[in-house]
Amino acid sequence: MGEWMTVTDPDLSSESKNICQYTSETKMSPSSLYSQQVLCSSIPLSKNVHSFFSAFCTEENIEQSISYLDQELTTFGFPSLYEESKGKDTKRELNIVAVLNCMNELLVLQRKNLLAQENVETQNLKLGSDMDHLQNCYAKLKEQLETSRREMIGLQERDRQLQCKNRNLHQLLKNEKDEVQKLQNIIASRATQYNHDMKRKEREYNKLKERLHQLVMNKKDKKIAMEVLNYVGRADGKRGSWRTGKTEARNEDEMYKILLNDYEYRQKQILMENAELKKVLQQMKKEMISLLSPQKQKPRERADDSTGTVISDAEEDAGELSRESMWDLSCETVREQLTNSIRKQWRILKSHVEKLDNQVSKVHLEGFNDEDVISRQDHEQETEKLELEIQQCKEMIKTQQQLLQQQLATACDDDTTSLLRDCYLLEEKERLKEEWSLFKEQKKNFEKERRSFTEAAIRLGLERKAFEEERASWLKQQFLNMTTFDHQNSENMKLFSAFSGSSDRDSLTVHSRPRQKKPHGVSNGSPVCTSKLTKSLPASPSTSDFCQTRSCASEHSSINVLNITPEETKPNPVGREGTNQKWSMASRPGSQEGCHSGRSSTCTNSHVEKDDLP
Amino acid sequence: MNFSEVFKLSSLLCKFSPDGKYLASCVQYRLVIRDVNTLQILQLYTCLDQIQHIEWSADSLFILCAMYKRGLVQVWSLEQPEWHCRIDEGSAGLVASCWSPDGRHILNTTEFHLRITVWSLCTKSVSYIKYPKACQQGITFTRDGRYMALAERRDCKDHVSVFVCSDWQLLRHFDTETQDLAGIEWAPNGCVLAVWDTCLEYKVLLYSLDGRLLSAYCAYEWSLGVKSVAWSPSSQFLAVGSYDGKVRILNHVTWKMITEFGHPATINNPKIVVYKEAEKNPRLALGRLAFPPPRAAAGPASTTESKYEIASAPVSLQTLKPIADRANPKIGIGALAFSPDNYFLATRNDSVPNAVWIWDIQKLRLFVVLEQLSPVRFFQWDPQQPRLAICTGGGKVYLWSPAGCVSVQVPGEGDFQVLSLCWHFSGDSLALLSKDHFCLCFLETEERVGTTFGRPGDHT
Repeated sequence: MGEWMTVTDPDLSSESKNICQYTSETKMSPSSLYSQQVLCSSIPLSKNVHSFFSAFCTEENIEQSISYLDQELTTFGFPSLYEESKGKDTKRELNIVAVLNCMNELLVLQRKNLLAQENVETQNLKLGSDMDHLQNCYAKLKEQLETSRREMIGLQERDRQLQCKNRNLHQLLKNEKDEVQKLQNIIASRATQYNHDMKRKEREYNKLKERLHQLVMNKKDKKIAMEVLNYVGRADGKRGSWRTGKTEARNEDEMYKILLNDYEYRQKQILMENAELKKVLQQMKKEMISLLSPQKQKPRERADDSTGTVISDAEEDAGELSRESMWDLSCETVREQLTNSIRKQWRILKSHVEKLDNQVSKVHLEGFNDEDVISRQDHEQETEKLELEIQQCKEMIKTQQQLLQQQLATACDDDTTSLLRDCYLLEEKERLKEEWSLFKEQKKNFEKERRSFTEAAIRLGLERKAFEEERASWLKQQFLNMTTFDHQNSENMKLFSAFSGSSDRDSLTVHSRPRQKKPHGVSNGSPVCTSKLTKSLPASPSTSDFCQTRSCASEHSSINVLNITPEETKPNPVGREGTNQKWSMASRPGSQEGCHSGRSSTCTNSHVEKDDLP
Repeated sequence: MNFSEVFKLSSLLCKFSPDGKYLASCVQYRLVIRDVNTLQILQLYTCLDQIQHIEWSADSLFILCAMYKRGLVQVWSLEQPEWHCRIDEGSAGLVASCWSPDGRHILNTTEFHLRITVWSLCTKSVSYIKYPKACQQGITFTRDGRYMALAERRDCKDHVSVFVCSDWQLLRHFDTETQDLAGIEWAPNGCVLAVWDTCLEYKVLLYSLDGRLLSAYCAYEWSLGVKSVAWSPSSQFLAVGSYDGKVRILNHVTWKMITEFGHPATINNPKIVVYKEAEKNPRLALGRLAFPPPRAAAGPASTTESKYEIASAPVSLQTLKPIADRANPKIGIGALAFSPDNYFLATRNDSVPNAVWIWDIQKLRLFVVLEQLSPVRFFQWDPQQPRLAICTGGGKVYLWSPAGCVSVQVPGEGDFQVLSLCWHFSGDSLALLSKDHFCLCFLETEERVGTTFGRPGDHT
């Protein structure tokens, strides 16, 4: 609370200062201290004024009250209420004007004071609400603090509990470990005990067996016997031999012979494998040499000595080896030579491959062929797209085939087959029907557009016609007005005007084309008009061109005017190619007609332009 | 594919002679010898009791019949039907009997594994070998028949003795670093002996013929270890199947592992062909749909036909949840066998009992998985070509070759539940054994089997 007070203090003081300034300004009276007094006193004064007023002045004490007021007012710095007397004795006259002025000023002052009071009150209110707010905030924060403190305590408690638990668990773990240790010890002791017992039992068992053996075998058991009709010969036909040291030695010999044979066999196999591997190595080496030999010149040229010498060494080695051809001798030196040379070459190959890698990476870094090299992703995307396209095309082909079949079916007029086909292609048909209706709608739209275009063209044509007429009349008038005017100039003017409307005419040609194609023209006049326009247009390639060829322009224009007749009936020998081109383009599908015709018009433009130039 | 008529059989005792000419089968106490081609009875021997075990001698001249209950072995000759031999082990009892590779000696293991008695048919001599170990596979002969290795237990330690079979002389005797030896097996070339420890400890030891320890291999510790072991016919690889559901292939040069074949329950690799056996609805082609379905009416599942379908890429196989608190849990690689040409390895993971996994040994990767409708009981490779015959205890026999696979219904009235099978050494015929009967299945050599069903097209 105290803090808050200190914070808001400066505000208050500044406010009061403001007021001070204000009051000091209004009254030219001096010290701020004084004005502050005024300010402080003004509030109760204003309130008391009325009650006081009634008792203040009566009939009797007018004089006194006036003098009192005067005194008061003068002390407050107002001019005296009395007129300045000439003489000392003369009774000072009440100056009405001064009184009124004073009153007025007092009133003004009063109003100002009221205003200030209001301000202060609002300020006070504001501050009060601020304080409330802050108090609320404070309370809230206090609450928060409390809750967090509580939480903290709770957490601390939990932590403590967990630690306790952990300690317990540690203890348990330790106990368990001890238990495990104990059990392991028990197991070990049991195992040893068991083993010991087992051994004892086994010994007993053996003893028993021995005893049983003795009992059973030594009893001269008559039963244990073999009855044989007659003994049979040995399988190998030999007679049994006595067991002697000799036979023993023989057996040993045989055993070792068998073992030796086995080892020999295995050695042979290993040798064979080795030979194979050597062959492979040799071949690899040869191939490496052949692979690296074209490389050899380059390093030498570059004075790359190390690789060059290594290669030559390798070659020498190879020569030696092939000369000696001692593959059968698996002696150390040969092996070493071979492995060394292979190692060397392998190193060369490796360095070469690394070099290539570096180059490749360099190229990549430079980003030289970034555009040329298609990334795999792009490639895949492209292939995917193409595959999709293929799929679509296939589907289209299929539908076309189906349509064809349908057509054929309807053509052959076989009811049953068509029925069958119908039931198979019902879905397809429906889809097609939908498509058909869509097409129809589109067609309708196109037709509408076309109509609007033609209408616009007609309108334009009419306008143009009117304009031409107007111009003609104007020209005529001018001609009549200035008979001295040069003929060429008038022509020039005409052409210029024609040129200025070129953009309009472009659009005109564009829109007029479909109408030319149509057999039933909208009006007879318009074709003539448009054809004229298309022909008159090329005569003005550009202003500069025109200026250069100005001298002969009149003739050309006249020629062009002569060529007004429809193109198809009387093709211009020079511009035939152009017209042909135009028509071929116009025969494209209707949907593209607009742009194509536009393009064709430009084609003709350029073409005829060329015609004009020579 | 043709089938013979069905003959009687007991105790699944039916064996081709090693030379491929005869077929021996037992019916109670009678031993029947048939000609393989005509199936006519050539000889009929009557034993003293119900036969429990039969074995042909290597030269196909003799056949022994063991009657363990009575401690008796009777030997019959094919050449001289009147010749007979009876070996009585008396009060010592009998638990196993086998021929020595020369076909002139019989090795009888007495009860409690007190000793092995070697009876000779040539001389009166009898040899005893004491302290044989009672284990999964304690006796093994080299392929050439020269040597025998025998697991022994003396003074609470495992030992291996190597005998020369010609005169039963002890050649080598050495102790092995095993806790409790479980099996021994010679490499086909007869120079290396693989020794593996009990399932409690993963340990594979390799000994040379002269008793030197070549290598010891341990894939992991503290878990159930080796379950099955198989040599490749070229002796180049040793496949070790273990309880962790993996097969580890050791090479013969360094005796280190080259690769590890896991048997995941889901197969994601689309390169691996998964053949799934699917029931074919019978009579569907005729358009007659019976209700309720004929399968239910017919009763046994074996009568419905089945075919193979190629399952698409992510295939999850039926797995069995092993019961952890029982002994001998159904997990791990229970069976594995190399094809005779070394190209393929067939395995069965016991926790995925319906599937047979065939691995390409050249590329060292999984090649094909066959998933049957019922648990695979037994499989065996054709001795001549990479062709695998599988039986599941149902009425069908399944054949796989790289060209494809096929499921064949065994014809005949009633059920014929194929519990086991064995190939003739030529690969032309196959004996199918059920509980009480057997029949022969003749495979045409002209027509390859795989062309009929489920051929993938480009697998060669």
